[in-house]
Amino acid sequence: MYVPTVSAGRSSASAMFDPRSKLVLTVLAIVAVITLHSAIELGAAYAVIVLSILGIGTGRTYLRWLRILSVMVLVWFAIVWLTADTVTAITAALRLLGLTSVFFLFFAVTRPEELADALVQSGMPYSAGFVVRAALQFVPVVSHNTGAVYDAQRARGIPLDRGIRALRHYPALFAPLLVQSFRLADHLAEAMESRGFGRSGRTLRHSYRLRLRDWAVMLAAVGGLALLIVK
Amino acid sequence: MAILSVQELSFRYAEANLGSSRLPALNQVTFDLDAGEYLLICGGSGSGKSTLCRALNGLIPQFHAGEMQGTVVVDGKDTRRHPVSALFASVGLVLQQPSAQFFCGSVYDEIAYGAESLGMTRAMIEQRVGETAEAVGVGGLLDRSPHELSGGEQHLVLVAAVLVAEPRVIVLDEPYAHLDPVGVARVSAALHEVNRRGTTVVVSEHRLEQAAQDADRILVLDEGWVAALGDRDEVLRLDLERWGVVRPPLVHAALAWGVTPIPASVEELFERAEQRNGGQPPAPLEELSGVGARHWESEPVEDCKPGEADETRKAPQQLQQPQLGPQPQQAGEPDREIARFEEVWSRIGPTEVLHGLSLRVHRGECLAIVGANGSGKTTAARHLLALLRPQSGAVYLGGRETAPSKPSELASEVGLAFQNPDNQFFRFTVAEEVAVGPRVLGKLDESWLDELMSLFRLSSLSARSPFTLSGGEKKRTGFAAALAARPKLVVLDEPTAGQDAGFRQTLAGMLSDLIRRGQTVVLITHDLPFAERHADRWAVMARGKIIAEGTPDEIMSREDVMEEAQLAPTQRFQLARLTAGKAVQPTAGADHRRAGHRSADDRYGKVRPAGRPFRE
Repeated sequence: MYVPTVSAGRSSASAMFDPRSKLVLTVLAIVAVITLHSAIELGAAYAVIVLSILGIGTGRTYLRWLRILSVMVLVWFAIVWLTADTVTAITAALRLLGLTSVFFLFFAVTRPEELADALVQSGMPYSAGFVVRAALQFVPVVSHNTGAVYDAQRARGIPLDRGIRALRHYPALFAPLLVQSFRLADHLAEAMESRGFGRSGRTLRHSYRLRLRDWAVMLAAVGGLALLIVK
Repeated sequence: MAILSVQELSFRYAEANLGSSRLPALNQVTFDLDAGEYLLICGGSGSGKSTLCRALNGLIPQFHAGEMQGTVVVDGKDTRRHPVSALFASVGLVLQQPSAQFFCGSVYDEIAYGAESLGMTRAMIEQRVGETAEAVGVGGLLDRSPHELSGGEQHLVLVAAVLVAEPRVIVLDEPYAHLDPVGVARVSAALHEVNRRGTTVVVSEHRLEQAAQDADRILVLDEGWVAALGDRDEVLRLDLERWGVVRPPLVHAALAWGVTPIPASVEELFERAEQRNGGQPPAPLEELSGVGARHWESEPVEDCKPGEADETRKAPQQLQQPQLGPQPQQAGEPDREIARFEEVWSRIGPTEVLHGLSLRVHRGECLAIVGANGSGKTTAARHLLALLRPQSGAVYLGGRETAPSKPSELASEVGLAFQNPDNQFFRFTVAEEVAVGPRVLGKLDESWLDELMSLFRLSSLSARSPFTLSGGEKKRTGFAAALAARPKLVVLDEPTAGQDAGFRQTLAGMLSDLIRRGQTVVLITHDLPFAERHADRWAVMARGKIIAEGTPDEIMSREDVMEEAQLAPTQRFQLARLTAGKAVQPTAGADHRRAGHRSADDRYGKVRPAGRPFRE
């Protein structure tokens, strides 16, 4: 699934906070969404997330992304509705929406290399930080490959469109994707080595510092979550 | 002292390497390169070009398991004794498939990565990135995501990304394989500039039209052995076809007319040939006299229907002005139409790709949709199968609109072979892979599948896993799969991209057989030499619409159309036009081709780089 990331030019929302504080806020938001139980609370939390997304000016991208996600949410709703009841199904669907939208918001304001560099600066080994960065960078590439495989198979008459019948043919989608992903990983590793990945003494171009506002927002978020849990 | 020294280099991939043969990929390869030289490595598919490129920066043997003998020393460093990450300051490598080599979010970060690896200061990195980007011509792309760029731009970014470390040698593996003429020209100009500044350039390529002009020396590989090595002109005189390499028409004509050194352009060649001929035009060459004429390599097939196919394959006798825009249907011809695009507007995501595309495809013809990368050719083809649906306008297949149908309902009428066959393989054998479509569509015909396997020379490969095939074999499997359900129309998307001369020749024979059977074929390509020889008609695409239709001759004679489509007339067309009307005569230069046949041993030894008069 395509997850948008901020463009190379850093937006004000992206630059306002340190990537590490954004990561902490995201983790706390996920805990909050998991902790909430009632549909009303989850609806309110979802509304806050959507307002934040609109606030950073990525509403249109979010709508496109939501269109893709809606199928998964509806399927999830149907499964829970069939196995439990309507209220539980609404709660489950809202929780899924909330969790995925938190990730959308995080990646909309955080570039993968910012996050990786900040973590490396905090002591994470460079190779581990790079795995984070490369994995996130390749989400759109894999998404593109998925589209190409999907079209290639449908062009041969394999019904991958919709419905239960399509599930039977999913190996036709996953097998080429799996093979391509291994190849992609190989090519990426070659390219990285060829450009000095393994060298020591690397320069980190950006230096990151947790400022007062980072600490303030993290403390506020921890406090808010604590209240939510003990109430 | 040589900047790059390869001595008795042999390499055999480890058995575990998927799809690789146990035969050595390289055999006793030996050559030296001085600083500032430009070497072209050519040879057919599987000749060892990519393996040699990887050996030059230490990826072989450090990254790929196998047995290596001999030495590679670059800038005084033995590639076995220094890690790849240490060698990159001396030798930069750009591999095929640029999109698989990006791991940063912006072009700036991509170029800066190498400078960061070297531990440069931030100020130095900024300066170096700016200088390198400007030198390579990507200064305006620094804020873009590398994945959004065209193929040519992606290659240029990768060139900048390795040059930022100021290596003494830069190696590129098939940089032109998937580029249109504009992309080829941009990358070629950038490499020339890099070379002019003193960097040694090594390019592996089997498309020689551009690469042969740029090089000082040429090394020909054949099954891992050095078949020829020497000055560019000297090697180009040899019979290269036996090693799977085809001489470009310009080189062929220059040698035939005795013009050396080989010039950069057809105009220059003709001018110098005239001077050499006492002011008289040079004699036309028989091989170039029939521009657009076919040179079918295979024999006619028994069950061909001559009347049906021949009618639509008559070569035009006279040059005519092409009609701009779609050609009107002529009275009494409605039955000939097999597909029609009517004012199709279409977008992919936020990008409008088709801008009022109108086109008719006639039964039994071989139509080439030609145009630069990104002109909308593949997008148009996807509408035939309703993989995409128009925002406005309509696409008709056999008189029926495609948009209301599902792709699976149209797949038995249109066979579409995409550029990358790896996107479709998921079965364990080639035979199963080819049968997937008809099996799903309920149109399985074993005798037709046997015929297809034979036609596409896959019979001996039928039990092999499609994942272990060579690039050309995969393409052939993809073509056979596209035809397996007996579609009325087959569309081949960039069928020759990244393929060598041998594959092109094989494909030409297969196309010939298909058309003789009355099969309608649409080629989507920017490979004009191939389209010129094998298509009845061209439809030229630019900015999402057809801007001209006509025979290859008609289209290429229109400079405005070619310029708008960002295409360049083929060398064969240019030569034939310049020599048009002359009788075919034996030329003084023709004999030297026989004289050029020397033993491989004669061609070894240190040969000084030839000058490059065409650039001065």
